[in-house]
Amino acid sequence: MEMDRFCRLRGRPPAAPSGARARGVLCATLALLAALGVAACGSSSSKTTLTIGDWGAPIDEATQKSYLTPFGAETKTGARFVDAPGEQQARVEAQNKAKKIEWDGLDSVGGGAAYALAAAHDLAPLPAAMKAELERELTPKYVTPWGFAHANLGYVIVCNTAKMTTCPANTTQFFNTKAFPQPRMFGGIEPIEEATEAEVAAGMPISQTAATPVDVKAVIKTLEGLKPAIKVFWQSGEQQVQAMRSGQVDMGIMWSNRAYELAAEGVKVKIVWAQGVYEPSFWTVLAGAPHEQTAFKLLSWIASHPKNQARWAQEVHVSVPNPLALDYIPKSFAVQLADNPVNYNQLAVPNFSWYAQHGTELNTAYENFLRG
Amino acid sequence: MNSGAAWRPVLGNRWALVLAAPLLLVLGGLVLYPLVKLTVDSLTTGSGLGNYAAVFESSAGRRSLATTFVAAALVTLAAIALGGLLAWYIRTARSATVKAVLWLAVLVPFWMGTVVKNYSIVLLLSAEGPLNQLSQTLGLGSVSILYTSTAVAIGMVYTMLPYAALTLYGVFLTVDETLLAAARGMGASRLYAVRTVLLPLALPGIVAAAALVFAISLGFYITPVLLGGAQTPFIASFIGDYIFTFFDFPVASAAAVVLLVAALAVLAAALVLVGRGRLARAVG
Repeated sequence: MEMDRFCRLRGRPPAAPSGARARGVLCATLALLAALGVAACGSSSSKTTLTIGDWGAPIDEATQKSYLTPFGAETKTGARFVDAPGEQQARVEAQNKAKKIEWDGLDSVGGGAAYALAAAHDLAPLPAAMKAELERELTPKYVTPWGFAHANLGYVIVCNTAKMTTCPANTTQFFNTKAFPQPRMFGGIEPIEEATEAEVAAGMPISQTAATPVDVKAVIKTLEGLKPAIKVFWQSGEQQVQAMRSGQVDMGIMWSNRAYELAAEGVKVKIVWAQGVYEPSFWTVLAGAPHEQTAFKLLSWIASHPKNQARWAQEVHVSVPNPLALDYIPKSFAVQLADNPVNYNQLAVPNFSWYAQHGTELNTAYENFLRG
Repeated sequence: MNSGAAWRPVLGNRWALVLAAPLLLVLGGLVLYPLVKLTVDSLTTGSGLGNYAAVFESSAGRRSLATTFVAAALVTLAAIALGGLLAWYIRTARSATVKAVLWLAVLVPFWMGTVVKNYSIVLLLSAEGPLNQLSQTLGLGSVSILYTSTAVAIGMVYTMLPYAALTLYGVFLTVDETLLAAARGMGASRLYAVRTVLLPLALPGIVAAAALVFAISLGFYITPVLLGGAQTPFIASFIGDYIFTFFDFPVASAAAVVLLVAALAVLAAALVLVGRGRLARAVG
């Protein structure tokens, strides 16, 4: 309106022809900008755009192709990613601190971080009907009150068979440095998985880890026995691969996806799932999310599309929760996934609920074990 | 047409303040405010002074501080020695080709990305890398320094070399070469001439360069992570863990303030050691 008035006023008989041309160009430009602005406003008001806290490539790309593009086509919903690899919890806490929640959901946030966010009431509870539906589709073991497990992997033992004739058959043997003195690698980040490995090595059955409080002192004592043989405490998947590839270590605990990537590169390795640790990640919606209901719809859509999950799993080499997804995955690939029952039944699940409450105790003790 | 007032190259205080205002605002907003907030947060959030106690009571915190300071000191010595040699050769070389090669040696680490630079050192130091292969070929056995403090120090020296060399080159430019020639002409040995003529003249600049290298070395993060691994304790990794893994911002703030105070103390010591006037002249 104001611009229209500006153009009409300025459109009075010109004092000079060049001035008129300039004003004409100016008015035409302003009219074009106004039209574009109206179009932009119109389009943004008719389409919801979800903001997803994500990991960057290749997860973003797989999520876009397998989930968001088809979901968007069905529901006229857009989505944008904010990459925060390994920092999703910190970024959500920062948004809470600023009292401005900008993200709607988290794609495959790690188990420790997800449970900690849930304990802090930073995740939106699933509506009861939706939770029941998810449990029906995915089975209850994958569903929590605030999301479902997705992008799951195993902590497995990997041996370089060019350097080792015999590989530890399970985690108990991996911790036996007399029988297996070879240099090895172990996790150096969020320690709940490492603590679970230590519990199992000390004799706890894998069926009990998920519900047993972690005895931090006992865990550190077990780890101290292993420490002299650990040459590399890895902090990323790339570092795991690099340490094995370069011959820096002869064996180690690796993420299952990275272990199979290493094997696919041609490095001769043996991969052992026995007494490994299961690490789920989670799709969740943030409490106070700008588009909470649409985000829940996205979660429901993902859970109910096993074929898309199968595609996603094959793109990023990690496991997905819908049991039917395995039907769409070649058998040679399915044996590499943590949710394949053959593998899953050999894995210990960490006690994430305990970790959400007592994380500081374990973190500090592990930090001192690692660097003290 | 003369306006009457004579043009002067020196700005008056008022205009100088106006022109410097944007910079002062940026400095205040992006440097001063965050540092003050960091210090206040470290004292008022979490357990207050207990945050500092947590840093010093933790064996990881104590070891990280000790390793960081020792490594920074060693890196400073090595970077100043190597950078000094490079800078002096560039200063005195007569051949343009030699100068160009030396400048390349100084500047190439600057042109490389931090991650690329560190990964190239990973390749050199890894078990199947050329260093280990050479050592085994010479019958010296296996060399295993990747994921140790030594590997971190090598990476840090490589990164800090340009800072030392460029600063010292500027310092050496202010030294009159004929004084050294005169000393030699009067019978001084090369070493004696360097010790009694060059070093005293360049000392303020050397101390300034050392202070710069030491202060930057205290804050290294990526190099310790990539070359030292999780088990090599450095204070920046310690702070990173408390932010990104433990989400304990108060303890991370306290550790960061300790690091900041240490860096400021080093700069203050350099100031006292050399004297403000000489230091100002040395760094231009």
